[in-house]
Amino acid sequence: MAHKSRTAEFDSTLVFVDEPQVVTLVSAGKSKRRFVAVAIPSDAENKSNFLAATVSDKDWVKYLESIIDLRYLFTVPTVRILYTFDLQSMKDGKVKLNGIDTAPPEEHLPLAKFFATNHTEAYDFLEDKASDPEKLLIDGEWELTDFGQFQQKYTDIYTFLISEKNWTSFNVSNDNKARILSAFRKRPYQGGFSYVHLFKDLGANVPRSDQISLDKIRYASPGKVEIFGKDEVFSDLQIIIPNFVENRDELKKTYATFHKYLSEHQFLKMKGDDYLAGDATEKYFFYQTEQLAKMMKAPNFAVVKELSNNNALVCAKIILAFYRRLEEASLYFSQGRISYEIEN
Amino acid sequence: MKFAENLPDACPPPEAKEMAFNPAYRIVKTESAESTCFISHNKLGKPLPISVDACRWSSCSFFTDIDQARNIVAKLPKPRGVAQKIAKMELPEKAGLSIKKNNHVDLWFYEGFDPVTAVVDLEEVVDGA
Repeated sequence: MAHKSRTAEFDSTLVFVDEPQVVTLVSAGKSKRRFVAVAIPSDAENKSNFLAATVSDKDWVKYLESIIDLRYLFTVPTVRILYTFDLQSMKDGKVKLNGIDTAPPEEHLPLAKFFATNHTEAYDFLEDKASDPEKLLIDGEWELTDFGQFQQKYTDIYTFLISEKNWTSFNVSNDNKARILSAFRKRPYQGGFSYVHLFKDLGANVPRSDQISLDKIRYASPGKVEIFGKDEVFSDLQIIIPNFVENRDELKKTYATFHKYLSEHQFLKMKGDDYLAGDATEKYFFYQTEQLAKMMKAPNFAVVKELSNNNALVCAKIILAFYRRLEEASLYFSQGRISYEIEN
Repeated sequence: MKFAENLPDACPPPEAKEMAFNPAYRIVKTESAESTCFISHNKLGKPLPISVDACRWSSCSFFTDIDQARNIVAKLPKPRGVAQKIAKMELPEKAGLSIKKNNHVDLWFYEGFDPVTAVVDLEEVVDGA
């Protein structure tokens, strides 16, 4: 069934080569739905036909950051609606989009690997990226995969800490807080994927102004990794990671003892929802979890407890997952391959 | 200086300057670069979309980065459907007035300058990037 036509307001040209080649529009209604459109061949010289696709806010930012290409927006998202329109028919800044019910021909689609870096026109983000710098010194031998693994674990910890701060902040919108809560509450915590998806969802929900981003890597011996993010989290990490490195034996012992108890009593296999409040183990779980969080100097036990809906088993599993990521990131510091730059 | 095409009032804008580009790249629609390849959409008689500035509609697009030109011509549907070559050019200051942004140049040619003489090479359009 063909989607209905709708009206959209012209927002901006992104690529101009003698004429607009890529443009973006927003729906004329309250929803302000985003569209991206590419110029397509027209039968008549007096027409400027375009193929348009709806784009989610998340994909729009990813596209502008060159994380995904233009073709992705037209071909991959499950929820996407395609339209055609003639730019020549625009009146008062508005144009009528006509829904299409068949897949567009290949010659009307952009090819893969066309990124926003190829735009000819500047497009301003409403929200700037986090810009507090952090410099890490690197030394020794690094494989390419090492960089990826370290960056992933460091980002996971950063993401957890910024989400925790945002949850308690007065300056963060209720929408954002609802997404943080949803990331914690919507999974079973029965297998490893729950934790992978928890950190992934938290990362996807971090506002652009708080996100961690890699600026540059200068590989040498010694070399340097420069990243941007929020200074308050970087300051916490400069305490949390050296603390882990210094106390890793004691931390490992505490983690292993608690993990072994959960494993031997089949709690690791138990769904979070199947663990009932008031269980005989509840006080022990909360105590062990709080002790581990205190020893690691993160995360904030009270916040995780609240986000876990006061479920002692879920709270424990999440803090144990945090421990594993912190342990892996700290390992690079323990090995002497990475360190914080000391400002003189 | 007179311009090669009839331009709207106050066109080119004050920020347009005489600039040399060596090289500059122009997407052309013929096998060999011909004078018709350096005519604006305005002169070609194409109707001006309301979202486009009339002065810009009277300019010609060039690139100063070959990879950006290749990506656009090979990967976007409309240029991909009509473009034949990428002309590499050496444009002197006296070619006209220009505005350069993000490796893209809007150029309004002076009367008497023949852009065909500035073409130094023609590259096949391939999606190599």
